[in-house]
Amino acid sequence: MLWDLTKKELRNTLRDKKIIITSVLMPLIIFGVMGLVYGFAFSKAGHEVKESVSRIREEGTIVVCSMDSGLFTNLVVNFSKSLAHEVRVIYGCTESRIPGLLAKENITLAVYVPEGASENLTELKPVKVGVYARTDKASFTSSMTLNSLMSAYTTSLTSYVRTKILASKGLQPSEVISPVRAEEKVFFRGAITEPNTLSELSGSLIMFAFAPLIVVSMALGQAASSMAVENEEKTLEVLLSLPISRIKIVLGKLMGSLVVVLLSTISFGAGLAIYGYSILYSTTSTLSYAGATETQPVLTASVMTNLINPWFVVTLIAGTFISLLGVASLGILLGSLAPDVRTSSTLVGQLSFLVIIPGFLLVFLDLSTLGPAGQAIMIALSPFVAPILILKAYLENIPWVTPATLLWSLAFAGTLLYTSSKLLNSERLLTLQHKLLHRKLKTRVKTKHKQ
Amino acid sequence: MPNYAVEVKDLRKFFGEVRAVDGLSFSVGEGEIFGLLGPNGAGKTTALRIIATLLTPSEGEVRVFGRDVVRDKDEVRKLISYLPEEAGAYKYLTGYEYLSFMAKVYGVSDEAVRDGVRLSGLGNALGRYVSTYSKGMKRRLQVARALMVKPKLAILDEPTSGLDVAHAVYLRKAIRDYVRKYEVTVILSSHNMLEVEDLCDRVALINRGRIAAQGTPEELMSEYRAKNLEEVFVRVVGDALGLD
Ligand SMILES: Nc1ncnc2c1ncn2[C@@H]1O[C@H](COP(=O)(O)OP(=O)(O)OP(=O)(O)O)[C@@H](O)[C@H]1O
Ligand SMILES: [Mg+2]
Repeated sequence: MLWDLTKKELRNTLRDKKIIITSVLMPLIIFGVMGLVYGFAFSKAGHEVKESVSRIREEGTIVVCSMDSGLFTNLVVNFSKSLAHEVRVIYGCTESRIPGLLAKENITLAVYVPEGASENLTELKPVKVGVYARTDKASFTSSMTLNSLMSAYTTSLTSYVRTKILASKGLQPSEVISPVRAEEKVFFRGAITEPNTLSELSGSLIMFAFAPLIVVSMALGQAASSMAVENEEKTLEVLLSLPISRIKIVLGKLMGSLVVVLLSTISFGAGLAIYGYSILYSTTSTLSYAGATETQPVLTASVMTNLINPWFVVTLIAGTFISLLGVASLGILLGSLAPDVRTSSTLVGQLSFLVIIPGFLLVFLDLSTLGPAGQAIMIALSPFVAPILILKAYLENIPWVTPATLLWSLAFAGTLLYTSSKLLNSERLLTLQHKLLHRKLKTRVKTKHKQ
Repeated sequence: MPNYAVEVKDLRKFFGEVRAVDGLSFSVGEGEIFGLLGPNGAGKTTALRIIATLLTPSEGEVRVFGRDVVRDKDEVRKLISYLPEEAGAYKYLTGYEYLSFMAKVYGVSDEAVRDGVRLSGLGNALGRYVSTYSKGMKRRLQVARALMVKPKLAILDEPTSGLDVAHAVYLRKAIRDYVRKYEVTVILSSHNMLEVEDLCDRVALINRGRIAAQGTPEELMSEYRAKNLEEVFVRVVGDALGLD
């Protein structure tokens, strides 16, 4: 019987093109296309950076505008010559002349060297140079190109100058710059790992916490509209007269909505995967003038395997399921009050703060900073986002929070399920429909009178 | 005490100030086709909804085959099949799927679905989504699903509303034959006097929530010296409406 009800729900929703489009295709398209576009833009920009570097080599001009005439200016000029096709030096050039130079001539970069730079250099005091680039565009690609060009110029210039100073004193740069080589390690849950890994881990898992937030919101909307559509299509009166227990009617709706939510979660996940993949593989081209940058390993296998512990996985799945159950029961309650699907989405929109506020709090707040009372309040606020709470509690190692969350959200979901099946009461719903119908008629009459 | 299919005793239903049903009493014998007639707002739909367990009486008592519609809701629901005045079917189910779903709900065999197909007279259209049906087609599907499960009591609120004459006549005949064959008791409401005269064994005229006249169509016609039920209706209700 329950299966027949669920089947009916599924047929009536999944055959609706609007629902397929909004809850199954859209997540895939939005995230997938967004990822592809983003990735495309990134690799385009990376390509553009490389292009502009070779363009400088082939036809670029760097102007060195200097109030100094000693060693420092020579170093800057020599360094610039290794980069650009043409380098011009203007001595006795104040910084205020630079805008004029950039305006008139086709110059890629202008570098200002202040007075006394060479003296500073011999006294080992830092020198402040100005680096100016010209552009007429303000776009994603051009600003990225410009930024990497300028920062690459300054960092490379710095290391070039440093190397020269050290060499002049007969020192090997590598020895002086890093006389101590330390390896930092953390002992985390039974395994030695890099400190970076931990921040990457918590960062990526927190991003992962947004997923339940979205899934739970979808379940709320889906359950509400599955009930509201019964009002809209006038099928509720028949449904309530049938020899089916009210709880079964509610459970049928719940299962139907959960399957739809599952489908959109899969599509959402696929979209997200495309998104992540294309971003990951598009940012590899970076600009460097000298030396290669080191890459960091992202997650070490041992940490991941240590983290995925069966108790955690089981509680996470249970929490997700319980939250979905609770939120879908709430949706059914809301939907039964709505005369049509549009009203139900408005109601859902107004109540989505119940999910979004605790969700956001949890994503950005660390439980350990709250103390037991604060943690208890967070648990009380979050019956609909239990998986996020469980995830946080696990990562922050606060064991009591997990069972407390599970029990509280289970009690909450059970109460809502019971309440929604009790409130699925024909007397109440028919009277409500009657009132709504009358209100509609009255407003129609009023507007007619006004005309 | 005779076995009644429906017993309504001094039934009252108030919606705030509105007395939708106000002291209604009647009974329907097993196997009978019983008609409720009355002007708009007389309380027909309200009375039928109470019999169908959807509304609770403010006062009075209603029994369906001896079971109280308030205390034994679940049992009553197994005995009845209710066709609301305004009933939709699920848009994205085909007519056939809708009938099969209903057969499963009532736990009846595929034989019932075949009866439903016949009763509806919808033929190949049953393979299409309900969203493509006309108003009349939807109504025929609803009547078919209400009757095909062979309930002990069928509660039909204006079964042929929205149907053209030919389809109304076809459906009326189908209802009559089917009900006789399977000994289904029927209580229906209607604004069509011809239909009631044609179909119903007994009739109750309701006005302002109570019975104004009751009997077989023939009894009513001779009592009010009328040629047909329409005249009876106008005599009884027209007086009350202040039309005379
Ligand atoms: N759920 C409700 N809440 C409040 N008032 C209602 C409700 N249902 C019906 N009424 C009122 O009760 C009265 C009887 O209505 P009912 O629908 O039973 O009449 P009816 O005989 O079926 O009329 P019609 O021939 O127009 O279908 C009307 O005044 C109606 O406005
Ligand atoms: Mg009515």
